[in-house]
Amino acid sequence: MFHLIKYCLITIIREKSVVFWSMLFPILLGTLFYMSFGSHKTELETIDVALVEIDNSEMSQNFIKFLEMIEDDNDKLVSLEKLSKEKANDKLENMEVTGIYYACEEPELIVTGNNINSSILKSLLDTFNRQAQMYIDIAMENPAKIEEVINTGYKEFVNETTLTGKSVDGMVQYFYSLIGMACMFGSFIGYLVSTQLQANVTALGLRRAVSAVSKFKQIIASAFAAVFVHYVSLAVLLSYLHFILKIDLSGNIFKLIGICLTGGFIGVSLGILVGTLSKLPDGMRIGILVAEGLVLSFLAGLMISGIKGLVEENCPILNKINPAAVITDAIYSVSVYDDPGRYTTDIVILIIMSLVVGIVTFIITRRECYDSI
Amino acid sequence: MVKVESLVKRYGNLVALDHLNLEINEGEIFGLLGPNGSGKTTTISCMLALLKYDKGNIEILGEKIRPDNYNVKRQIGIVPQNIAVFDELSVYENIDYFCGLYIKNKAEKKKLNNEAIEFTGLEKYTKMRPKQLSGGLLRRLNIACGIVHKPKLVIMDEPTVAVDPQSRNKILEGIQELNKNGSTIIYTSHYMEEVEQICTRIAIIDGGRCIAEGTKEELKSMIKTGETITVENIFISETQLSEINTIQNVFEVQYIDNILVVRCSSAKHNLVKLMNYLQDNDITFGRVFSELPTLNDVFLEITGKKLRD
Repeated sequence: MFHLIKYCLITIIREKSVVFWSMLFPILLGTLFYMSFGSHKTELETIDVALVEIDNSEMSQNFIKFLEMIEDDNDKLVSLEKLSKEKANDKLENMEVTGIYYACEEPELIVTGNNINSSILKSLLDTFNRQAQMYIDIAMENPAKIEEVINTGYKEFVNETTLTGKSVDGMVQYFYSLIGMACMFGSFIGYLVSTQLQANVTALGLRRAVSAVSKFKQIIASAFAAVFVHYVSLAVLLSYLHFILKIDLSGNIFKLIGICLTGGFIGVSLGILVGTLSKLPDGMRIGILVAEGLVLSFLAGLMISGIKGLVEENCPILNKINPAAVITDAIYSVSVYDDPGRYTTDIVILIIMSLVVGIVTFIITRRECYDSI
Repeated sequence: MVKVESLVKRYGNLVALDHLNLEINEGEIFGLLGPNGSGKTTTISCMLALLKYDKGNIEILGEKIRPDNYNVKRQIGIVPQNIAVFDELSVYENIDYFCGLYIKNKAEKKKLNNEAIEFTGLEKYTKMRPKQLSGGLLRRLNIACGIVHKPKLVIMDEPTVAVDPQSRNKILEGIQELNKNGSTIIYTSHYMEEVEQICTRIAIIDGGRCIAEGTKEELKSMIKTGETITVENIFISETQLSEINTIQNVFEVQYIDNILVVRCSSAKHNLVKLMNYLQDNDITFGRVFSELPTLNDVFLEITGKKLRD
């Protein structure tokens, strides 16, 4: 048995296409994701803006107070310069400031260009106007509370958070889907060992089938080696995401390992199963593998962030039978929702899938005598 | 050693093997000769318990062959028509892998690996991967993997396909040496020259049936042709052609593109008689050569078609 496993391991590790698709490709894709949006927070430059106090009205004073609070914020989004109307216009013309805020009964903004900084200044003005309207509404409907509300200042009233206090960064979903895809891409390893086992697929399979070692032993050794290599590649991917790219994979590490063990097993088994489709040409079977991995991952939200939710709304059963979606969901339930019930459901679905695919694959591959070769 | 009785194999409506009977004795190099699609590989696959068959019986080493009969399988070595090695393993690793499917003892395995490498002349290439080898070397590796465990019965399914003449001769010499060392060989081919060169007994298969069996001498004696005389660049009339047909022992005359082919039954002085006739009639001609019957002639006469049709 050791002899069989040893050579199967060597064979898998030396097969370049397998190493690429099952090990390097997920890491490359993860790196690309990280480079595109994985660093999450982009540093914004401080926007120079002029402030012209037109009148001394209450609204004007509140607007100035609001802007000063924004200026004092840690992010230092804007840098205010109180100027006269003329000087402010000069500075705007000379592009020394991005815009001019007019503090008056109805605060205004003048900008010269249509760029991201102008949009931010416009957004600040809109925020102030919305909050001002809110105060007016409260004053009209519940005047007794207005003083209490004003005393809280212009703080952000809504803070995005989860019940568990864990990350809800939408971009992390891409990385969870990536793990789902990596599990599915174990099918390339499964495919390799499968074709080398089948007498009706390759001459190598034929030679092995007529040897003195039972097919059962050969399948077990090959499957063990394939699953082992796949688990190692998944461990490398998880470590890379967590330690190098600093992607938040927080949660119970044992639960994450459980997800990868079952998910990886399904990936390898599917590959073995596709490898047994002896009537199809080699290129078509490889096409099936790539399509299977990408389509399942696409539906799990690898390429478009909201696709999994869309599937959940329109065809929820698809999310239950798509192993990549179940894997993504299981990782979510550990890392975001901290929902043991949901995790258990997902892991049970994955185990059932593993058993079904594994048993079907075993029954097909263990055949030793064929009707035609 | 091998007994195939009334073997029938059908693929739907197509009868691939039609009550095939074969008996192969220990120590033989037994040739299975037949054109492509005649049933050679199907016969081999049935012998190896890879293919289910519809009727008949196969015994190897006195035991009925079954997929789980590992005692019998241990005594068999197979050299398939297509190269059956791992591309990812080196020459040595490939040989070691296949040896390990039969032999567990490490020291014995190492010894057998080295013997197989020496036997096939692959000493210089042990660290190379199959893709780095030439076609001939690859065939030798294919053979090494099949014989490394020193099987009693070696089945070789067209092992010289697409091999250059030099490598082919080396392979054929190796097969004869293997036989001298005690292995019984079943050798399938559609190259009659190879079969004629190395096989001690031959079965000619066509349409899934064994149409003739015996030593090459026995097979040749089954047919009428004893000698084929070919005369090139000759110009003769219809009358002269008819007269040649009446020469003693001549039974068939062909005249196409100024080439005369005369088939005679086995007898002395056939060539002399034909030359005398041409001389007496002042007929000029180019090269002349006489050939003894080949297995192709045997096949042609029995089936009415050429072996490579």
